[in-house]
Amino acid sequence: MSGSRPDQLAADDEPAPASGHTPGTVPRRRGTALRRFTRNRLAVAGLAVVAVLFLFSFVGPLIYDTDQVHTDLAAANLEPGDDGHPLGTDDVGYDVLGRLMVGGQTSLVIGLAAGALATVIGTAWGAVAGYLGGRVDAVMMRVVDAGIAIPALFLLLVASAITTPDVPMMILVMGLVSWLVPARLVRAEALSLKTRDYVLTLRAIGGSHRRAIVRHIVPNAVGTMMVNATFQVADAILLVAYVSFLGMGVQPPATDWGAMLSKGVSYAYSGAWWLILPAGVLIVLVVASFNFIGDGLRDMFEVRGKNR
Amino acid sequence: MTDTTSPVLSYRDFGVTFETEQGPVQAVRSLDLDVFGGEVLALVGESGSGKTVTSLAALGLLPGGARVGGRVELGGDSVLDMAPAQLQRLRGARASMVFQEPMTALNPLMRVGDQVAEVLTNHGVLDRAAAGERAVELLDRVGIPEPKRRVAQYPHELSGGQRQRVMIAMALACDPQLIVADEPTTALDVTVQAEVLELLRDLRRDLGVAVLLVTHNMGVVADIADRVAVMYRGELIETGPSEQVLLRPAHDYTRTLLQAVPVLPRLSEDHTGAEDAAGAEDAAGAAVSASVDAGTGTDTGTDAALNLEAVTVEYRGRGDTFRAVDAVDLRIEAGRFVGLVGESGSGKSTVGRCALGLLRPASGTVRLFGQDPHALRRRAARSVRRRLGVVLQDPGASLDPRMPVGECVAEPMVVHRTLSRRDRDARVAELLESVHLPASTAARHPHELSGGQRQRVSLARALALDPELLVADEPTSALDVSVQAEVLEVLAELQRRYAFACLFISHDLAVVDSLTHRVAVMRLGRIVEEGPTREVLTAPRDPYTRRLLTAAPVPDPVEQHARRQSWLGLREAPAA
Repeated sequence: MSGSRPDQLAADDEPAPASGHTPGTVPRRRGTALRRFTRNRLAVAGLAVVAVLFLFSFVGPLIYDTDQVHTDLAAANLEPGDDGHPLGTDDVGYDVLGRLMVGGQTSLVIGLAAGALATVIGTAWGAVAGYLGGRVDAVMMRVVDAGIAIPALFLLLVASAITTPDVPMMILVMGLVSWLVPARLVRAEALSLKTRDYVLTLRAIGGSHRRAIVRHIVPNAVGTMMVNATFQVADAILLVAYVSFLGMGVQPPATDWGAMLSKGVSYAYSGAWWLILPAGVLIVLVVASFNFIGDGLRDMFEVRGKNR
Repeated sequence: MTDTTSPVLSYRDFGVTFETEQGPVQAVRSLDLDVFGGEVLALVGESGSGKTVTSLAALGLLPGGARVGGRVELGGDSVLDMAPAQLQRLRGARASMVFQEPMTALNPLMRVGDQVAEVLTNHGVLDRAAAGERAVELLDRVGIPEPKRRVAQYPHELSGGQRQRVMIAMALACDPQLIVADEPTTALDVTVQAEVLELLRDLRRDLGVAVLLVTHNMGVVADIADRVAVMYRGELIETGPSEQVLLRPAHDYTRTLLQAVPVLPRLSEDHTGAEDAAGAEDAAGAAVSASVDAGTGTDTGTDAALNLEAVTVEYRGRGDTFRAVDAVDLRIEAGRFVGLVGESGSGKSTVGRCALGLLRPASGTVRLFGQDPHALRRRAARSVRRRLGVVLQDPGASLDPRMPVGECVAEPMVVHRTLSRRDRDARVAELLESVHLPASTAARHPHELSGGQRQRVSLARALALDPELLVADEPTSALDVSVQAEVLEVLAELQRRYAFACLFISHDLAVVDSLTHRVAVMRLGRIVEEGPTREVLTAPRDPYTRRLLTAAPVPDPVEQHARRQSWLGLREAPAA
């Protein structure tokens, strides 16, 4: 050592960056990520709408109690406001407002569960493929390509035609057809993350592949994952609506918003707007809200991404 | 040389404030500065000192969120009051810019000649045909060989130094009064840097253009600047002729900054003729290394911490193979520091990867503590790797951004299942303290730390298992000099305490000098010279080492002048 160290500079007295030019070194408090999310007004609104819809679907029936199991033909096709039915009744006498609550439970549960399942499978598949690379990657990604080539809706319809569609079955099928996109995204992320110095360091000192994937690759891909997951939920809710609209969804007396829409369409021409409008609005609301939340999450995670 | 009548560029009470999430940050505070025609003014400072913001203001190029105060005048016109259309006419014509990264500053899809000509046609100076001819002249002026052929080439066909010359040609195209050069040579190797600085010096002399040179490298300042302005935390703390500032600094900060610059030992002049005596070199070299090895008393072959024999690494491209490392022999005895230096593309990092067992050589043998890491079974390989410590270059990527610092440091212990959880925490605190960080750092995340602190955390992690061999690949090259000095000091102190061996990879000869016992110089995949550090750096036997040494600028204007002369002498002599 040629005595080149200045004595004046104490160990933790490095010149602090004084300008916004080095975002990586500016100390950032934890709250700022949340603030970045809340700055996106639409995302906050989306979060509020989703919360309200959850309350409506799961807490609503406790306050507004209706019979959603037995038909009542005597009270069929009542207009909104008639006989204590704020949104009227449908063709077999179910109260529409109460039905929206029950249908919402199905739509939300299937949407969230299928979105979560797709994200988990996709992340695991993509992280392993991207991290290992080479032939394993090639084979795993060709499987994904093949899966993407088959339309998800077609698979769902076939599955519904073979078995009786119920909620767990629909979650499973939907999860199994929609993990392909997250798998591709996470694989791309893993390809770049595996060359980072901290992963190389771990490998050089003898760390296992499992540790590299579980502790380094997946946590660092979490931003991409979370953003995609919200879109997955919105897609799944829409997919449930499609399938139910085609009459292949959950069977009565269970229902979801898509099934309500499909039943209502035949009466819409006779002026029964209350059978389609409320269900349609709720589908649009929930799908839009989840998309906005996804945008908000992207804002929240992206600034961190600037850290090279 | 300085024309004191009226400055080309002048700042008066200039200030910049940025709005950030943490509130306003003052990047530059009441700065007064003049740049005169025909002079090179170096604006120096460490990252975050506000030097780049100041230089960008000369062209009205400040980013959107900036609030500006004071006046900036270019040839008497206020830049800050100009309308966008006026600014557009000013940029390129009266003042132009040379950026740091020549690869990203040029459009990869456009022929370089067209890019130079575009500057001229944009400003309506010349029509297309005339601009094309002028582009050839300009490329010739900046010293690009065969300019007629080069104008038709794309940026990727040129070397980094040539690309930077094209940038300078573009900056010169409209005969500006001022060139703002922001770290123009930082991305270049030292030998190329010396060439580009030589060009800037010529241009200043022949064309009388003023150059505002933004740099952090005191050697570059000593080499080319007439005057120096030192910035620290947004303030201008010292201005003066470069000889005065560099040799007799008035301000404490300038003095600290200069002391932090690692200094090369003086080349012994009587050795200039020794290159001819190539026949004698083997004998001399062998004698020297023998005496050193005898001194340590370790000559049993299996004891070496690392032994590379005839290691060759090839990368397969489309059809052709590229030999990144060619028959490299390198041996590191236990407890010794060995430096591996070379310019970019010399294969030094590839050798590092081989030593770590991350890369399998095409031929040759790698022995870590006498064993081949690739031939071992899982458990044995782990026990060899346990004795390794690793510090890699990029402070932004060396730590997992999602892991608290404590977990990062503890990772090797977790991987090798040593110590209980509680003992691990105590050990992490102890390690952090050994690199002069408070134990409370363990709870923080990497993004809350500065670059130097992060590299010290990496060092703490590397030492977690008391390694016998540390591989450090450019651990300080992304850091400011004062921070680099600290990290190197910590490393030296730890080495004295724990006596591990170290492979220290660097492009900076001066850094290697302060740390290592022996040094190997790499060029184009081969080791051209290897020997005791002092010996190699003061009396190099290989002409390439000598050129590398003379090209590296030192922060002493008088000595730098002498070095430049000897470098020019070597440049004239045909070298391989």
